[in-house]
This record gives sequence, C-alpha cells and structure tokens, in this order.
Amino acid sequence: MKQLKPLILFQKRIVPPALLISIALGILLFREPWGIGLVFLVVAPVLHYYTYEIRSENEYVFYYNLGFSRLALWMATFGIGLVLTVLSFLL
Amino acid sequence: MSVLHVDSIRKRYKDKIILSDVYLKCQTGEIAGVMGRNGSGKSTLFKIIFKTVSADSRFVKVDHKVLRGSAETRKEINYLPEYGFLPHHVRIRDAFELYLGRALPAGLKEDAFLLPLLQKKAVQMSVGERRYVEILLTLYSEAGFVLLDEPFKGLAPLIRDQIVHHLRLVQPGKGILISDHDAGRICEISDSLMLLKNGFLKKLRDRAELITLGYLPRESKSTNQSIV
Repeated sequence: MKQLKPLILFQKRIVPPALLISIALGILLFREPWGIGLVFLVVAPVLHYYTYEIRSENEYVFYYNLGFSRLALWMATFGIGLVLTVLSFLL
Repeated sequence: MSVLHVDSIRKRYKDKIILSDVYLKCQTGEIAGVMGRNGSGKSTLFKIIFKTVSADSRFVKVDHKVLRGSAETRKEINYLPEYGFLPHHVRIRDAFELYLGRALPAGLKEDAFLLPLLQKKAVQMSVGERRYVEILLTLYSEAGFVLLDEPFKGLAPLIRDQIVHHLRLVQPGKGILISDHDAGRICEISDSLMLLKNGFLKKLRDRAELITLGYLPRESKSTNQSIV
C-alpha cells in the first residue's frame, strides 16, 4: 500500500483525462467496448509523455525520492493500459 | 553512524571535463558544504550521486553497501534539486505522509510557517512556500543522506533562518551535502567545506581558502570577514 499511494498520485494526472478521451473516441470510432481499451492504450502514454516529459519533468524528482525510477512510472502507465484493454475485451 | 562515500566521479560533455575523479565523504551528523562558481558542476555532481544523470564513472556507497541502481540509491539518499519538484495537485499533508511515513515530528508540528500550508495544495501556494515545503520534505524524509542544491535561493531571510533551524534539528540523524551561493550561511552551518573548481573537488582547510582559491573576491575582503 505504501508503494501504491505515490503511484495513484502520479496516475491522477493521466488516468482520469485519458479515460474520458478514450470513452469519447472509443465509442465514436469503434462503437464497441473494446475500442475504449484500445484507445486508452494509446492515449495514456501520450498523456504521460505530455504531462511528465514535456510540461512537468521536474515532478519526477518527487517520485524518485520515494524510490521510483522513471522506467517504473512508465511501466505503471503501460500496465494500467494493458489491464484496461484486457477488461474492455472481456466486456 | 553511517558514512556516504562518493568516489571516482568522472563526467565529460563532448571535449569538456566537468568532473574529474571527484571524491567526497560525508557521515551521519555532518553538514558538508560544496561551494563552486556557476557552471562548476555542483548540480551535476549531485545529480550523478542521486543517479538522475549518467557519468563516465561513478562509485557511491553507504557503509559497505554499494549503490549501483537508482532504486537502491534513492532508499539511502534523497535529493532537493535547485528547481521546484512538488506536483501541483498534491496536498501538502499527503506529501508529508508519503515522505515521512509517520506522523509529523515535533519540529514540524510547532512550525508556524508550515502549519497553515498543510491543508493547501501545492498549486495554491507561492513559489517560496513550495520551496520551503520541498526542503522540509527532503530533510525529514526517511533517507539517511540528503543532497540540497541551492536550498536558500529566492527565500526570505526569515525563512532561511527557519531552514537552518530545521537543518540543526535533523542533523544528528542525517548526513547532509549542501550547495548554495549564500557563502556566509553555508560557512556558518557546515562542519566541512569543499570547493569545486576546474572539475576537481578540493577539501578546504579553512574558510579563508575560499578567497585564496578565487571563489570569493579579494577586493571585498572586509565584507568577507564575517565568513572567514
């Protein structure tokens, strides 16, 4: 749980907007639940890149001090995307 | 008591040597001041120790444990960069909960500057207030060693005094490497001083060497008297 809290805080700036965009685009483009997951798999890393690599790169240090590496934070973003995609295909 | 050993740090950008076989040692309870002109490589040195910048050669260990990976380094060492790092959407109380993993220690509970900020989000605070919080987070974190890069930059004198107060409070349980251009204050709080010049880190025997080695100007020796 101690390791989860910083990840939740980090993902707060990615998951909610990525989910909204994915629902809108997924329904618009694919008209199927799996489309939402598929779009999320692309949108979440793009938002991650824009938010943390371009706009607020300094914020990485906050998470570094808590023991996370940049790679681990990126893997979390891709991991959530994969889980959501699998779930959307099961719906 | 723990000891941080940093050795064989070498860094070059294209043809320019930034750091050349840098060695330093810091132990629990010690505040070590790292001085140097702008562009001398102080920030790069801290980033290499913290493993956010790669080096041609790097050896860092705490006691007998060699810190090779970033995760193991960050368990032992925390870092305050010269720029702000606090996420704008984080509530200050939550940030302390994450960094400290326990209730606020007495030194922070009695801090009149900090208490009104605890319920705020970073985005609602001024740059100076955010900086103050970042310094306290780093100082009171669970890591045994902290690297402070220009902690006094842009802060009001009263807040600077407050930071020195907190440095003194945490000092018995931590090793602190500090770099800042506020030479007077660094000399006042540091147990040992080092000067980074031409890629070499030299341990100073006394504060007067800051003048003889060209970090402080000779002409204003009278104004430097409070330092030396």
